[in-house]
Amino acid sequence: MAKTVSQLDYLGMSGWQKFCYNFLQFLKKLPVAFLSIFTVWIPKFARKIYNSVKRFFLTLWNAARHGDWKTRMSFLVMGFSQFSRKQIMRGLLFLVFEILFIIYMVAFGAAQLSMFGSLGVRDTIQGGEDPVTGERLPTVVGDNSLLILLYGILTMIFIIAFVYAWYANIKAAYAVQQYVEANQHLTTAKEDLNALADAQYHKTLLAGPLIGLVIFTIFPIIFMVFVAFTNYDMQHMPPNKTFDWVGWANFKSLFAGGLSGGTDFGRVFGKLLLWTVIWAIFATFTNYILGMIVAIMINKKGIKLKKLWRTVLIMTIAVPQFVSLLLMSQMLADEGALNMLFGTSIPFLTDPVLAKVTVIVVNIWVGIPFTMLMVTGILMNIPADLYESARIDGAGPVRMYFKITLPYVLHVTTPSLISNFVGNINNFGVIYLLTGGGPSMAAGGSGGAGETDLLITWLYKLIQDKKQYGIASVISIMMFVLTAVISLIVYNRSKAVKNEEDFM
Amino acid sequence: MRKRFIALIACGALAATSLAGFAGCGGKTDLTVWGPAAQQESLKEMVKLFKEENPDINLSIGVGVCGEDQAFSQMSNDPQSGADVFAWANDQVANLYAIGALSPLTSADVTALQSRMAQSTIDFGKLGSKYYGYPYSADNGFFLYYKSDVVSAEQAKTVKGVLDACKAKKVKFIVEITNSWYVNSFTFGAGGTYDLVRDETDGTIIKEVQVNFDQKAPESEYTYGQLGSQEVADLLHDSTVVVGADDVIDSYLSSEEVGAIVRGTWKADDIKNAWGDKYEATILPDWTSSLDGETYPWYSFAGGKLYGVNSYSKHVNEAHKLAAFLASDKMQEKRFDDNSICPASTAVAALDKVKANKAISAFMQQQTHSVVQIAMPDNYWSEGDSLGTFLKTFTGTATELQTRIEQYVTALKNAATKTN
Amino acid sequence: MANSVKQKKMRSKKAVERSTNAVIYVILVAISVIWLFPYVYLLLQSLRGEPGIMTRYFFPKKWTFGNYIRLFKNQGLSKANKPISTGDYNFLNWYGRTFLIAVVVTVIQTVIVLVTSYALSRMRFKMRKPLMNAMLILGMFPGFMSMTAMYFLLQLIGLTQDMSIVGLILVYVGSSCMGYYICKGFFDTIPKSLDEAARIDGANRQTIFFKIILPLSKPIIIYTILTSFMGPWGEYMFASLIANGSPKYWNVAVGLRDMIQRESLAKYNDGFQRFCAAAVVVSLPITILFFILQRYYVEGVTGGSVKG
Repeated sequence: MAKTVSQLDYLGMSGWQKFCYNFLQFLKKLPVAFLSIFTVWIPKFARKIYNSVKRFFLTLWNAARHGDWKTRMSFLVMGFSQFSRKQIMRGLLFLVFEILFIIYMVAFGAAQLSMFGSLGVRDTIQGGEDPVTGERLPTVVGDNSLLILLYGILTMIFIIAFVYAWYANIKAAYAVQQYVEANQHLTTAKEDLNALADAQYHKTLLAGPLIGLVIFTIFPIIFMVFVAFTNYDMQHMPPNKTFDWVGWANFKSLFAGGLSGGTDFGRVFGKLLLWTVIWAIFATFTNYILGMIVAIMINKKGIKLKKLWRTVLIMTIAVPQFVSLLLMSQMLADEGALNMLFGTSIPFLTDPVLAKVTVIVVNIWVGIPFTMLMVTGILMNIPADLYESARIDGAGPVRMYFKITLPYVLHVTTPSLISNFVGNINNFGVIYLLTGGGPSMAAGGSGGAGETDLLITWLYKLIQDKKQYGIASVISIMMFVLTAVISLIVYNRSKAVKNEEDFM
Repeated sequence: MRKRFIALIACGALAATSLAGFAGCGGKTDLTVWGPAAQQESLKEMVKLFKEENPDINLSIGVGVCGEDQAFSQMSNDPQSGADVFAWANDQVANLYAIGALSPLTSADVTALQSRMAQSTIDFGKLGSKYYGYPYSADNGFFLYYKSDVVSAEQAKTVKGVLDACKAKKVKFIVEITNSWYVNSFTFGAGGTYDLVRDETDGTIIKEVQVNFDQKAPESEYTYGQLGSQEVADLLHDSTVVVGADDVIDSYLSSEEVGAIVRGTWKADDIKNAWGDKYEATILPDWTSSLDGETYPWYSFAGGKLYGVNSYSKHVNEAHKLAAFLASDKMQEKRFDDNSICPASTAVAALDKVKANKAISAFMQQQTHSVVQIAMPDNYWSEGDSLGTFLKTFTGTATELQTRIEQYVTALKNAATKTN
Repeated sequence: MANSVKQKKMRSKKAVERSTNAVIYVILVAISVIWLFPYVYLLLQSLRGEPGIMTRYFFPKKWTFGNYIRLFKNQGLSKANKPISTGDYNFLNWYGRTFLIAVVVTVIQTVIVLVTSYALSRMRFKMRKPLMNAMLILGMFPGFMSMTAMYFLLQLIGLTQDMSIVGLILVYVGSSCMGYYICKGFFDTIPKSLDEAARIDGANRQTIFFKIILPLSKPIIIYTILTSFMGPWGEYMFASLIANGSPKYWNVAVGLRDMIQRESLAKYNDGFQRFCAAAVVVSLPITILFFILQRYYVEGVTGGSVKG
């Protein structure tokens, strides 16, 4: 396995060696880290869940056994214990929540949930005509699996929230009882409010953002995970046709090759995954290395008009990126401005190989300014006495660059480099606006994928054009796992290196 | 009721204000119609005429924009909030059917259409055994435009004639043959065919793709695909030929460096403006294969546009009435007057003013040398583009070409739904 | 003797230095040309008077502001070179909508980011670490995969089409707490001793946030404002989905992308020129804002991301 170097050896390495060593270590750790999902994270998570469930029931059991009638009443009427012990505000909040939940379930939730298992059974019956009278018949709209799934998940989220609130209510009810029995002070509404501006301030601050997170990020993700287990595709478009649960069929068809749509999804997935990784490596490192070179050139002593050069480059950041990219796609088209102006006909965006080069080059054009800015900031932070002492030792500019500048920059930017890598895996804009994924792949079913398509733009096509929601969900789950694991490793590693608390 | 309830829980005041909007509707028939952007003004006038003709219905009709080729992508997100009546191109019928967005015509509707147009035109809207739209235009095809002081009428009859004439005057011949819409036009001309066998009950299921591009043409040692694709490659290697889309045409027109163009009716006005009285249009020229020396015709696709009714419309009867009205002879004539759109009705096509339109009469002639553009699966287009890209740089032998054609045919056949 | 050798060495060193600098200048000039070329082209095309989509020369033969004027008058040049209305394809409407959305999003998003970052930087609570990790990876989920769910959710509460401005704002700010990373990195660099001193004086967390942290965070607040403001201008996918086919509900990104489609270009004689003019108009306020606040942006990028 990976040979680890001692602390001393590591410190003795040159900048490049350190960097390469770190990067190799990272790559070597990747498979292990992936495995660790199953060997470490999942067991850890399972243990946590087991503990929580245990605590959940223990608390309930304790409250039921040792609680007085007021506490026991709280099992049915939330907030009762607090009410009866004069914690009016808390009690009221619990009670209102319970009432709202019951109304919701009776009026809406229960019905939705009851259809969740089948996702609806009635297909839409298209109108057509009455065979006898020749009159037009109205369309009978069937069950909409999509909405059933959506509302079902929504209802489940509500139920989980309710169960949690109910649990918190019982826990609090019993705690209040104990406080009263021990003659301890019960917090008043005013004290509660004050706490929310101090010790509990994070609750006040995070409540809003987290509700947004649940509704606009977590809920849709749960939805798509469920969709991955359905046959939601062109043949099953709600409300025209209901779709059904199909278990792991989509996962199988992705990895066993060819099922619906007549295309070999697995093969295309593999091909695009390879290109996505190649693209991410090139896009990240070209930007990084070239951006650093440009930054060093601009910041070199004796170069004048520093501000001008920087400003010119910053144009690509200041002008909205979609404008820049749309413009580029027009200029580089077969009959675009560049070919027109120079009277050439270079297929920048339509030749399979050249198009790949073009997107990388345009990405450099878009990306260098960001690296340049970042590196400029770092260069200014390098302590001047480092250079001074090197100069006294008689080091030339080249040696100083390799001995001081490069190691320093590499050390500081490694985390951002790898997060750029992850960002480039999901770089939708550049490909979508420049080539739209084109040119088309050579013969062989390709699921609509083009030569420059990344997995993410292919996903978009699968959904927008082919309506292959089931398979697309599976692919997005795979990508999600891939990128999430890489970033988790990177961030947690870099945090371990320089502990957060050190700064304070 | 439910909706309102959850709305109140979820969004309180916000939702309440939006709901206030729904309260107002009474016995009115609310319809929405989507038409292509270029015909918006014309469409608004037509809607006004429809209202005048139907004073007995309390109509309120909204007009929205949706290109005929965009009908599926716009409808598919949420067909239930889509327009009641919308324009679509005939190659979208299978997809639109799959999302249940098309309300079928009754047999009475079809009979009414049959008295006005050719069966092949009505078939644009056919899927399985039912018809789903009212054809209003049969303009989807291409033919030859030429400038009479460069190309003579006689020279315009053959590809070689056109090329020689352009070469002599040092101008270009623009044809977008690497595009999948054009790439098989020589192959079809040589006798190639492409057809789909669809499931009788569910028209979205393709049971078989019947394509013969890889088979030998009768009395020839070459296959249809070899003959047609070799011609594409030959043209691509000719310096007189410029491959380009509409904007390229504009640029060459403005610099007066083009003598002949292959394109559809939509470009007629621009070309006419540029060439003035030298503007001519005719059927696609014949071509002589460099492989077997035989002469074959050059084929176009034939397709059309239709108005259809959303089957989720709350007023299906009124919507059908409106769709039929928008495709009526009178409106087709108006569309011709306003936007020079080629009519689908035989009566309108026979009008003198329509006949006097060179582009449209060339298009009409081309009908005899056309392949009906059925609802192709997506891979027809992607594979066609990819073949076009391949031919751009192809300089190999006929055998090598045949290998690529066989690959192409295999890929096309992939569109059939595999049954386990 | 020794002196002259030293002088020679100095001179040659200087010469090397000078020639390196010359090479660098050449490279920098080349880079500047490459970087500016597209934008200069954009600007020139927006001022081009002759009709047609592309030209085969760089500088316009006729200079005009007509493209801008028509853009604001909601007109285009017909094929017969007559100004005609572009109807629902109203650039000013798109512009106004996008501007409004961008302003509201900026306000809400900046508040959310600051608040989240403060909580994660200064408070210690049980769910802190899991929350930070979760927010980090949730952002990796392909955004458009959630579009379907979000569309129907918004439709359920009536926030599509007519109300799409509200819907879009909700979607854009909905997950903005995930952008805490850089801002938290900045807060982490503010010494904690300041907090402690204030606590001894009896200040609570809220007071510390408003009275101590925020006044020290000008660069990162401006950085957040700048990035939040720029975001909505380029969003394409959800804006086009939520409009459900009506151009009146588009934003500039959807509008501009439509202007440059073949069908739209073919409709007018000045399609491409107006696209360029529109692109200039869209870029102008952001570019100006950016150059004024550039310093803070650089501080944000280098300060927050590198130290974080």
